[in-house]
Amino acid sequence: MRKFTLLFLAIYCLSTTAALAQFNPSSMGNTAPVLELQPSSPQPNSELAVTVTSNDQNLVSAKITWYIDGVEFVTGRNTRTITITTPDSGQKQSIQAVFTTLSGEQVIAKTTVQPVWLDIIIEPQTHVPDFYLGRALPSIGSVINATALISGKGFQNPDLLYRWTLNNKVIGGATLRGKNIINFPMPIGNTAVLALEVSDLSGNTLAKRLVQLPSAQPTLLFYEANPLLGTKQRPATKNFSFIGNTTILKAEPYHLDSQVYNNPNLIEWEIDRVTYGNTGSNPYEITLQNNGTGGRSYLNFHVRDLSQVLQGAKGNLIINL
Amino acid sequence: MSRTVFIITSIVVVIALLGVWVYVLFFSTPNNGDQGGSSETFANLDFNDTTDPSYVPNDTADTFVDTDNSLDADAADTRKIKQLTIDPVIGFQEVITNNEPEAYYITPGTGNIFAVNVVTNEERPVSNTTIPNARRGAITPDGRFTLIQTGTGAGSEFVLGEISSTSTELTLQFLTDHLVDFTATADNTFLYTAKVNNVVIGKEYFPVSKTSKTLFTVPFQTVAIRWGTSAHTLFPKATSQLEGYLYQAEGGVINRLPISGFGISAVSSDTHTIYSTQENGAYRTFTYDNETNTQAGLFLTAFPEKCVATHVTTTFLCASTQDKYGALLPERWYQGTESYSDSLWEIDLAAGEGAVLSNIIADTGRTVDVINPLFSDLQGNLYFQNKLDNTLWTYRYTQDTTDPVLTGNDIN
Repeated sequence: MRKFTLLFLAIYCLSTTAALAQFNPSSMGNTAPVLELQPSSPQPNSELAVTVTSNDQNLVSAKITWYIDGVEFVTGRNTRTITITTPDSGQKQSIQAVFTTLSGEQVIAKTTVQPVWLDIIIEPQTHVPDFYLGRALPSIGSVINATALISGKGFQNPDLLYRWTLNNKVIGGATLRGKNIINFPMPIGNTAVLALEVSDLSGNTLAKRLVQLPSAQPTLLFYEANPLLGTKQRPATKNFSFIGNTTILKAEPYHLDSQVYNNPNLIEWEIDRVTYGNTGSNPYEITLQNNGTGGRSYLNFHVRDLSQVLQGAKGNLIINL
Repeated sequence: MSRTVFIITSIVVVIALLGVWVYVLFFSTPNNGDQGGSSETFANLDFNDTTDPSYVPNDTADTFVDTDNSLDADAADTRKIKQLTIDPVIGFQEVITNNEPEAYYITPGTGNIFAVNVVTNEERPVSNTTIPNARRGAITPDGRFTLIQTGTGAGSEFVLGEISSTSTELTLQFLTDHLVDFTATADNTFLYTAKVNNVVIGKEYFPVSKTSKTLFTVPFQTVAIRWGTSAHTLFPKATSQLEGYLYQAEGGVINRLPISGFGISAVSSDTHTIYSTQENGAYRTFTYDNETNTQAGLFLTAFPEKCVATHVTTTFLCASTQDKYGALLPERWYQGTESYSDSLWEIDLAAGEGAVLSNIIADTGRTVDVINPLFSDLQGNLYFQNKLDNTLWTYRYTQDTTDPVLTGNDIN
């Protein structure tokens, strides 16, 4: 029994197996130079830094010659990094780094760059006045439409793969074919990061893009309106001088979710602490009438969604009669 | 002479003079020439018989003689810059009538159309057809057609009006497309964009034949268009907090220009583009040569919405101030929380020169925040609105009367 135990222990301890964790057999002996691009997805007509790296000790003393589209890049002689300008959208550009050893042997690293524009158009579905020439901003909980436009491959090529991530979480659960338009709610926080990687059907990455989305708090401004002349394009000042017998004030909640704007749970006007719930066909307008007495009144407006309490806006004016 | 005698003599002379004065004042009567005597009328006020209380009509009508023609409606108003309307307008166009430029304009709320002679300031009605709740409009340069938006937002409608030369009635036809943006062209057609599902389609509308053709399709909805003659510049509506990109639509194809930035907006001619964007916390203006693909900074900062190309594609007219333009632009200007007192500038990109055409507040005493500039190369007039009150203004643009302020190397 004792001999059997000793024999068992000897066999167990003396046998060896190779540990392959974090070990790639295919890399054994692979010292071929590789080219790295910075940025990895360059845009057209922009600066691109190309760096050649190699673990081959034989290439340490080798002469390095760079070629761009077959033409020697003279200023890059014997340097590991060059900076070039990428071509127009969709055009290909070949880059080669040629190592010539002391013995005359040549080792070549090459790649082809085909820059494209990858634009992500952010369209928040929030409210701005009709006369406003600009784009609305997203607010927490509001829906954002994002449209990816990639040039050189057809703006809306259905044979491309789109991988959208929002704050590092994949939208839609996976890479989606032809899905260049998505929508999603703005998450909680001051900003969010939307990233996109576009590949061809073979899985080759064509372009990558990252966009930071700001989160705006809905803001209220009051504008004077006239049934004949339309809405003034300058907001009423905090101290509003009431001239004439009648005036109409319109409340404009910038960047309020459009769904909340069209169907708010709470919308009310308040004058000197008296609430007016129904002011007419447009709940965002109030008609004020001068009753002949002087002094000042305090006007308040409040609109809000009661399930998404961050979707709301309040504002007030001092009306001087 | 003794003192006593002197005093007595003086008193007598004074009394005599007083007596003469009293006689002349109360007892003397002048002789009239028609009674045979010499005329001694000093001031006949022609009161006639002042004891007669009845009304005596004056047979001779009172006349006012305008000796310097200052009130003559046909006299030319030679001011280079002037306000054409005191009321707001929602659309305007220069129309040449009897070889003279008239500014046709549309009034808000009613959609009535008037014409004001740019030279004599004389005004006449063109259309008294009421289009209720009119909010925006365009008129073709031949003065024959108008396109007017009624209402705002989802409830808006769009009506085409044919202007009659013999009456003030419009012939109306409602368009079926829901327009987003529209303008009239020099060829007397209308260009417009319409929302269809998730895209925006650009079209040209021919009012004579009532037909349209599709020009381009934009794959997103929040798009601003700067209409050109053959090529149109597109970009997502501007905000300083989201990146925008410039595109050009021509021949049915949309191409990406190598221009992008936060808060970007632009205006283009056939050869050049002026664009503004946020850069390092400041709002700055740049130029892009469409043919050489080169970009450069501009010495002036201006909202492209205040700029327009002239008949010379390398020359733009812009409104700007010397104020610093900071962050949160252009949206603070769009909201109306910031406004400006503009001067008019001529920017010659080919020569690299700029010049002030008019310091508006100094020349007119009025603060004007220029918007919607329109250059008419029929007679070289610039038209624009004041964003503060939407009134219509004009500037008579002539290249040889500008005062050069910056030249040559002064341009960045």
